[in-house]
Amino acid sequence: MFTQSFSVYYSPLNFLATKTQGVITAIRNKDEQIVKKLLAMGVHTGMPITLEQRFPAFVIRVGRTRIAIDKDIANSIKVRVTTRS
Amino acid sequence: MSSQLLYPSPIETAISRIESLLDDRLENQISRRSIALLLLQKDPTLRSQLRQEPYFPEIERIVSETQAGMSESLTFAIAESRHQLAMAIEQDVTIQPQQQRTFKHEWLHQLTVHPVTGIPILALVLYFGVYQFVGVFGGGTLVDGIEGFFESQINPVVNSIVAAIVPWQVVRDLLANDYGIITLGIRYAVAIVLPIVTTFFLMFSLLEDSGYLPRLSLLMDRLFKTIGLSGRSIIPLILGLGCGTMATLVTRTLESKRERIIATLLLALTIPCSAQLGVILGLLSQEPTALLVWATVMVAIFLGIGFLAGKMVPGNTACFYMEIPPLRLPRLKAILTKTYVRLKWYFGEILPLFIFASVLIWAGKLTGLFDLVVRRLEPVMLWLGLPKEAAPTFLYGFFRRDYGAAGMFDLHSSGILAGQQLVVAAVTLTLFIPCIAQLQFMFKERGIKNTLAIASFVILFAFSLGYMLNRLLTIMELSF
Amino acid sequence: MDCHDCHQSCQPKRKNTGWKLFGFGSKRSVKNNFTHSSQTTIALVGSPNVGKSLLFNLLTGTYVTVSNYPGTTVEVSKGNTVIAGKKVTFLDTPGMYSLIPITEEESVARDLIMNEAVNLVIHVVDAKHLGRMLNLTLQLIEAQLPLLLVVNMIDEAQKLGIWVDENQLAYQLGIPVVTMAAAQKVGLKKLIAKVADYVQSTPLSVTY
Repeated sequence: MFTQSFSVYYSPLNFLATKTQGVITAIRNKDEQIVKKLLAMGVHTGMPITLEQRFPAFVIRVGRTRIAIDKDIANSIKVRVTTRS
Repeated sequence: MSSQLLYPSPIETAISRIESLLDDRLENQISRRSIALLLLQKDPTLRSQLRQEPYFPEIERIVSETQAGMSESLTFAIAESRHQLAMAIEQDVTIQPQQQRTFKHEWLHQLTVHPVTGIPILALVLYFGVYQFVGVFGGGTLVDGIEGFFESQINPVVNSIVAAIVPWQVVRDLLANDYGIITLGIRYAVAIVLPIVTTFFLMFSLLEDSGYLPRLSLLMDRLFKTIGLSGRSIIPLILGLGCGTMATLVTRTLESKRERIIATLLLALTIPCSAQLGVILGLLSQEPTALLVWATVMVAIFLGIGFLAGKMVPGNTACFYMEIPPLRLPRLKAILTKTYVRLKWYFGEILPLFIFASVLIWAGKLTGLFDLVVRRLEPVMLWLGLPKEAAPTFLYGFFRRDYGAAGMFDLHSSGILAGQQLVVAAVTLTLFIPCIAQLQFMFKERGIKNTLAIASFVILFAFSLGYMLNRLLTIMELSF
Repeated sequence: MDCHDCHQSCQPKRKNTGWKLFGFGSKRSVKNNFTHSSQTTIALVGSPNVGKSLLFNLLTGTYVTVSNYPGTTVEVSKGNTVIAGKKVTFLDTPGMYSLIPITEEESVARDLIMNEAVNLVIHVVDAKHLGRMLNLTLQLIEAQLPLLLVVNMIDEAQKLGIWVDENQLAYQLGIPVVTMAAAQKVGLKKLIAKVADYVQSTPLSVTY
């Protein structure tokens, strides 16, 4: 098997700047409940995501849904950045 | 049906294996396939329901086997399949715009959640919504009006009618006079509690329907993390400013047991309910320094005890996630309906207790039991630097928090309680044990052990703090 | 109906005494009692903020009772109305996102549809978030519960340029679908007609 190195910009949400847009590539948290809740609110892999605010809480927009999350949960959402503005 | 929801084949295999194990005795209304899926997602309720069954270990084995063969968690895989189909259906049945349009009232949303503008807006909402509308208008203007009407028009009439019809003094006292069902129980309910609670619920329903509450949670999350809670807890705590009993019930919306215990403790100890708040604001607002001392002490205790509780109550740190719905202009009818429903609940649960409390007080006085307790409380009052006439107020305060506050109102108008004593009494009464109804709901929600622990802590803390505050104010020579 | 008792006991108890009067045994299970009763119970479920309570209001006139069921719910509102000549009881449940509950509050709605005798479940979704809300619809279909889907807030969706094809959705899911704007009472008659269809088609009545 041969591997080719792709350079995909892939980052936990809490490392991104406000107004960054991207696509969710993974949702990982040791607490399965949190994953369940995020899934139920429409946060799935492949969905477009915008980081609207970082303080006092993270505010994200996934599809047409706006969700407030704390830093720990933001850390569990991995994003491939598509645009920066 | 054209869209069949099929899961990846290992999951489908597991589903049919589990389905064949389940017996007919399951009283559930839902299909076996659904039960199998819930078990694969480790649903706690269903697991505990089936734990005793002989086939349960077999199910456990299937679940862990299936999980072992998958790279991602079963829950995730199941949710993904479902999500794919749901999205495909949405694509198929809707016409979506090419460009996403912005939300309505977007600028207003930005103002409410941006820390620079959001915090001042929050302060304004609390000042006008809680202080001006509930405290000053509800607890001041309305209470004074209705209370005055009762004192001058209704009570004398009731007293004389009862005196005319009922020959026995004992029964007269049950119905009328100082502690009668009509003259005290109903008067407090209608004249003091009704206006305050109504104004509070109106304000709360307005905030709820406009979509402001989730934004409030968002703003408070950081602060609440330091006291072991998450932004989510602001909703029961704000509701606690209306009715602690209702708020104790609403702590269910919190995620973890730890959060629920901390919120219950803070509700029992520091959050004054609207009846109490209205009377206290009404009394202390004439003395701005007194009000400031009361508010500072309460906020400090809220944060301090919250911080300590956050350190001591076992469990993981609370996490915060909440959908932020668009801001909406609330519809008047919906607000009125919500207020009406809440008021109905409140009076359904609380009015009987008012009457019950009146009867208890009557019986207590009749048997001398009450005088005994009051006499026991009198030294405590003196220890707090309060007049001994304040003792019954504390005792009644247990029957209804607002009874206590309203009793204080009476003491103040007759000139017994003044200045520093008023502040000490207000602080101690606010901290003091929640009313009978709240205690009952604490039992129901948190269990006997937690409730007893919280209640004994609250009593001890309230009196010790009252004592310290009195000493401190004396030393500082603050005059009100 | 004034019910402040706990939900496990109050409804069946009342039914049982009724049956005893007519010479029937009271051994029937809770479920049987319900299917044989002459009244239809319909639960409104869905995530928070989709207009369930408003719809409940429209269907029942007002909040007839807000019962608080100790140990189970924050509040389940119950209201009666008559549809197609039959008494129908609507239950308004706390919001839920998925069949797997996370908070205690959410488990109320699930316990209600899983263990209580509900004849019809009306899943209310927001047309603006159809895709993600269909997750629960699919779970309810999997559970084989008698189901009706209400796609609410179509007016708001249309303002955003989203149009929902009601018939196509009904065909895809294999369940009845009604699009509505409950706040404007748009689609209410259609919904009541669909509920009436259901009430009439199910043999629920028992002759006294």
